[in-house]
Amino acid sequence: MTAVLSVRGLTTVLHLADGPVEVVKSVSFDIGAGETVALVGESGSGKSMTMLSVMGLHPQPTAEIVGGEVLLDDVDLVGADERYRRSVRGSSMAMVYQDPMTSLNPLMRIGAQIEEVLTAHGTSRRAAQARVLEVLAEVGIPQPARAARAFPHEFSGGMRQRVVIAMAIALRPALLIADEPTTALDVTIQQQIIALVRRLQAETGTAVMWITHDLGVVARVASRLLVMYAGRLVETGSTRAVFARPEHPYTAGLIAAIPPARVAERAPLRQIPGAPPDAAHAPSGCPFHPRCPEVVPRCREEMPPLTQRPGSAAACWVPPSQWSVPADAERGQAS
Amino acid sequence: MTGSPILRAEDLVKVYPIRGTGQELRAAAGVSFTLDRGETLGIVGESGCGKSKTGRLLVRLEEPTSGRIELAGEDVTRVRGRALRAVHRRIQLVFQDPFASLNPRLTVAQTLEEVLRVYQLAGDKAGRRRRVQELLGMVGLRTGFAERYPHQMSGGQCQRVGIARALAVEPQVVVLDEPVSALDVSVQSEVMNLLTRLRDELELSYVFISHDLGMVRHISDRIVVMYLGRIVELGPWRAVSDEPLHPYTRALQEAVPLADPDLEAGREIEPLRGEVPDPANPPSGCVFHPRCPLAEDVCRTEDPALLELLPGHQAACHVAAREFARAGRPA
Repeated sequence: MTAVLSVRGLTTVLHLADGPVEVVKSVSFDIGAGETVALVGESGSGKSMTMLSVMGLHPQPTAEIVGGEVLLDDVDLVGADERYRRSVRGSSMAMVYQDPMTSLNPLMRIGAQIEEVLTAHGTSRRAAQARVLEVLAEVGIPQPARAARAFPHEFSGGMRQRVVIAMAIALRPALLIADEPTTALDVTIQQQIIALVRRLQAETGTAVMWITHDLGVVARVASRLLVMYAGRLVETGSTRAVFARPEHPYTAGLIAAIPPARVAERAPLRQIPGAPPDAAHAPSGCPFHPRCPEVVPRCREEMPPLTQRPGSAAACWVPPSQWSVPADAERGQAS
Repeated sequence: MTGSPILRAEDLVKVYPIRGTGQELRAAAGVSFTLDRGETLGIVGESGCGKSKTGRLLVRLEEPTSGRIELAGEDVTRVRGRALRAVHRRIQLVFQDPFASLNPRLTVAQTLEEVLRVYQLAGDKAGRRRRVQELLGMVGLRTGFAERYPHQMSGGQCQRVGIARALAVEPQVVVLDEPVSALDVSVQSEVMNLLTRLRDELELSYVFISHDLGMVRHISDRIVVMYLGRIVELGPWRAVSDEPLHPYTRALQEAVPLADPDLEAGREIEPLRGEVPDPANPPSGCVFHPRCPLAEDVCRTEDPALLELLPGHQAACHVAAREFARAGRPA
């Protein structure tokens, strides 16, 4: 499988009053053509900052990429000049945010906004106007010609997210980065957006990176997942394998914290003590160690490497066979 | 769960006039249910369905336009002043946003002591201090938290304080409005476990309001499903969440992604079409008909009644009702 995007050792710091803080720590992953990969993490895990760094949209100068490579079609974007980065943004990869109003100008008609994306990348005005109507229809917006003349506030949240997706796919990017695109939407509208992204993917072969905190969404959309905690990838693998046999205690805890579907007997949920740390106060060694039921002395000292196994990887000193709380432990063994 | 219900809502209606249009918005359009002692009633629905509004009416933060609320058999629909304060000793609300619902200038101890002072509970100052420690212990916070301010706590810790504040008056009923929605997944489970434990230990009755069918399924004895200010389905937790009778509940259940790739792989999910209509201008007949895959002519003209189709399991759907009348079982 050819990788559309290849991220190697990406490290991003935030320059805060007390000095620089690493919020993305040596993150490496690939996304294959047409693949759907989920980047999972809780608040403060660094998942959004990772993808903003990939896009080169991290808030500079507060945030700065201090190491690593972002290879898009084998060209390193970290080393590239801003003009090149600008030329690939929107055309080769595009981003959809949680709040559609982040991406939409409230004072501009929708058609003009999408047209601007196209003309900025060299499409003629006439061709752009035609493409606007086409792409609005593609994302399922009724009466595209009328919609193009409307302002963002005239649409519901779900329809606005469709507009943002239309803008993102207008130039047929090879990679679509969706940052919690359905978190602000009702679940029936979320399902419409998931179905839409799936259909567009099938039609165009776009790869999708889905950033989410919702393991249900992961199970529904992604063939592979990356789990992030305190700025680091702690587990990666195929969605089915990771859900069936998580190899990091954090992943195992997250999965078991969710009420299981369709069970007849309800038991207490698995708890992970404490709260996710923010990057500035990440613990030493493995950042999960203060919350981990499997902690051994080494965890406090040394960050375990992300050990590659066939099809998966996990950063933990303690192999699952030695866990005190097995991943498939019966619910109710709250730690 | 014996004896008379602790809480009864009867045909609750809340109407707001829309200024300058002569139109009105029915945020709750005839909501009726009972809550038994020790029971947890889940209310699930999407934004604008009236679930939070119903919660605010139940605790009398707002007065219903019409209908009746009974707390332990007593009509509290229109009580005011001291009588309303007495109602609030028996029924309390926990809010969604744990930060926004706490005063940022008060420590945890001050927040809890204020409640105790207002309701003249726990005696003198020393008594209130002891009670604060007891409340913190109940919600699993170390005594040191008494001196913390909201910004010095995580979301989960703030929500524990919100729960402690509700419990300070020793209520019989707690209405929980999206109590875990603002929390991280790894923190949600601990608050859910806490709520379950407190319910059992203190013999509380809960109304658990959430958009998250998975959480509602996890904690409820019975589940109410709301759509556009109305109850469309009401029944035992397992039946409503796994074998729903109403096409809206079915669509909702299918739309909820399950955190299980094996279950997800077997699901072919057709998204529900359209969006929730404008509540100021609801559709004729059954309010769900423009989005319903089963809609028939009768659905466009006649508002279906909430009928008991199975023991203890009600649904407001012409098609489901007809299937039951014909076969005694759903098609």
